[in-house]
Amino acid sequence: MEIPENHERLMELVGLVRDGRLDDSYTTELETILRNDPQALAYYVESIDLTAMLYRQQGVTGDDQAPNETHAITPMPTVRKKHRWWLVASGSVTICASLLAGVLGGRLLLPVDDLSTRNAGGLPQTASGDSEIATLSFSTGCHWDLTDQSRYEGQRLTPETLRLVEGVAVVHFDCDVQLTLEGPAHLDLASVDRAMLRYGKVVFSGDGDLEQFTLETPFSKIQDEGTEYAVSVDRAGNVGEVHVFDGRVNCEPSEQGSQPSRSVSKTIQIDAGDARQFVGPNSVKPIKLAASRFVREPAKQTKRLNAQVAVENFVYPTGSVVGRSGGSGWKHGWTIASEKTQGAVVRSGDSLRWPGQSDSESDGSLIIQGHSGLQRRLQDPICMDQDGVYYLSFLVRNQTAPVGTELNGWVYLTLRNSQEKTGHISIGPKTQRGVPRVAHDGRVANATSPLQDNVVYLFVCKILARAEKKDQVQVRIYNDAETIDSVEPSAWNITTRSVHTDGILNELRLSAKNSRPLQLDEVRIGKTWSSVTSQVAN
Amino acid sequence: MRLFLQSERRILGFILAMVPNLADAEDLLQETCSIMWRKFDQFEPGTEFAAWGISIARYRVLTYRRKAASGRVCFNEKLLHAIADAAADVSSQSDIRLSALQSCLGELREKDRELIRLRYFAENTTKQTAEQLGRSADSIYKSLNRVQDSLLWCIRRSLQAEG
Repeated sequence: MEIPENHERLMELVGLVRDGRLDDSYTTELETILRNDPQALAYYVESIDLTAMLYRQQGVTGDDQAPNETHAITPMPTVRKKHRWWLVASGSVTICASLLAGVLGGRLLLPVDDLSTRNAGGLPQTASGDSEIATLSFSTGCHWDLTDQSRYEGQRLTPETLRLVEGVAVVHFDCDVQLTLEGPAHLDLASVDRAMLRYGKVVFSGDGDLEQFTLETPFSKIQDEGTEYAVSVDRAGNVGEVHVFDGRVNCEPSEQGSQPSRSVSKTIQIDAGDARQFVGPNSVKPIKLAASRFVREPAKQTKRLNAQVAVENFVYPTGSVVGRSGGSGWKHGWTIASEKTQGAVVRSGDSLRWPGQSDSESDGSLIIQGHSGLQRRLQDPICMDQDGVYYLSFLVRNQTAPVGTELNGWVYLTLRNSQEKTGHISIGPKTQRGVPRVAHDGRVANATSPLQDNVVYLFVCKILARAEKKDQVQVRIYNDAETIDSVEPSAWNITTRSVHTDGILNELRLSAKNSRPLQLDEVRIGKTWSSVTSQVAN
Repeated sequence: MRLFLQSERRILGFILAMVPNLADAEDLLQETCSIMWRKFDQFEPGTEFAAWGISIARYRVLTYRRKAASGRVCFNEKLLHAIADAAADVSSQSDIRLSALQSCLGELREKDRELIRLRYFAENTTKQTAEQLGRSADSIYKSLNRVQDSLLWCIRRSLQAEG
């Protein structure tokens, strides 16, 4: 029972194993220590065994049991924090998979600080953000399984299982493929270009000019060729249908080698307008296309404003905006930042309008120029210390500089904490560089081209707040000739570097310095994409 | 099912010693359990179920190491075998070690027991534990290292006393 030579360091390395933070260099160091010291090896192995025992002791403390009472410790029911689709998918027999799931449901649960995850291809990835493969871009009427993680629109998704009890959810993969999931359904997100529908209904849509996306089902692998198609699988996984609305798909036998009898024997192609039904082993037959049985593009059919946090349309008489308190979701009226700054003025009856937007939705806009600074407090702050998604949108138009003036300053909309000076999110449609810019806690990112004068633009800023992982801020800029995406896009004009912040952003500040006039309207803050874009969506 | 539940902790402890990454170890535990299910008819009644699982896990880890050799840093094979032998030995004392742990937990100071409770029994991460206790994550990390070290030496003393 000797103390290892590197006892202190060994303790630290074991701690890193416990916390899931043993990276490659630490692993090498640990290996060196273990190779050269048998005492260290014994200490290490016993420490790891102890760690595993402690995890297993859920709900049992030392003073809860008599010292000699041992062994029969029943694990408390736990909610699995990780879901691995391939585990069940690879189960050879349904009952075996069920039993196995039962075993694993009661297995050790390991809370880790920086948990590594593994995608379906077996490549180790960290959960700090780089294992994310898709976004839950839309949801309506969704009720998720109790064992599922809490879901919210805009949430970034890792390889995991979506367990939808009811409702419709759109998953936008980073390869720009979109799956519309209709509950009840279980969908395993495997990788950026692969998913498995265990049961339920899914509508696939995607461009065919990129690599193929593979949608697996219990009976086949479906690969698209620039397609829109729908798939349904019954709960037992015995009957499936494929309906092709556009393009063509290839259905290949499933790779579940343990279930060869349940797969069709050869690859079949299904063209637009056709449908097939897969029933039992080796049975596939043509059926009538039934597009109406599936939900397609649900976001376009749903205009929702109920997730709005705050709105300001500047429906005020012409004049200073200071002291005005219209709109919704604000705690007080506009206040001026300092007596030395101008407050910006309202221009009544001159709204910025998006093509197709009705006149009644806004009546007035704000002109910011010169040196301006004003702010307004939010009723419900943006909490960067919790998991959630927020969107800020506004319409903006650069006005031509008055002849003879040299105004080359900036205008920023900043979400900030009224007391703290860090963690701000600033969006600058007009900057000294000329291109729109976003800054998040000091991390700056620029757009590649400036705004044109006298053109109306819609800025939509997505703020992905996360308790454990790094936060992310992205901005999509639309000009008035573009179609607004019905769900949040996979591509953004500006993306800042991820950074961990915990600020409570309770104030919107508008500021300008040496700026020519910039017209601002329709400022919206919401918790879903559609809550800040529906008013201008085509 | 009962055999699995009773054995999984030992198997995971064994795997984690060889693959010091929790996520990887969990994956390998799943694979091992899956193989155990498939090959359950090969298990010989009367022999130790966990030891059978550990032998399967050992093979899985070595396979994993060969596959992951070009990517993630793993222990070299010689060291893996040494760890596997030591871990299997420790695992064979599972019952008595568990009994000793119960006793040692009871000997902890209240605040150390609370730390263990929050970190392990309440399934918090070290960071979450720190937040709940209003301390820094680094401080909790060090405290946990110290408490676990003291538990380990307590268990060792207990085993030594029992001969």
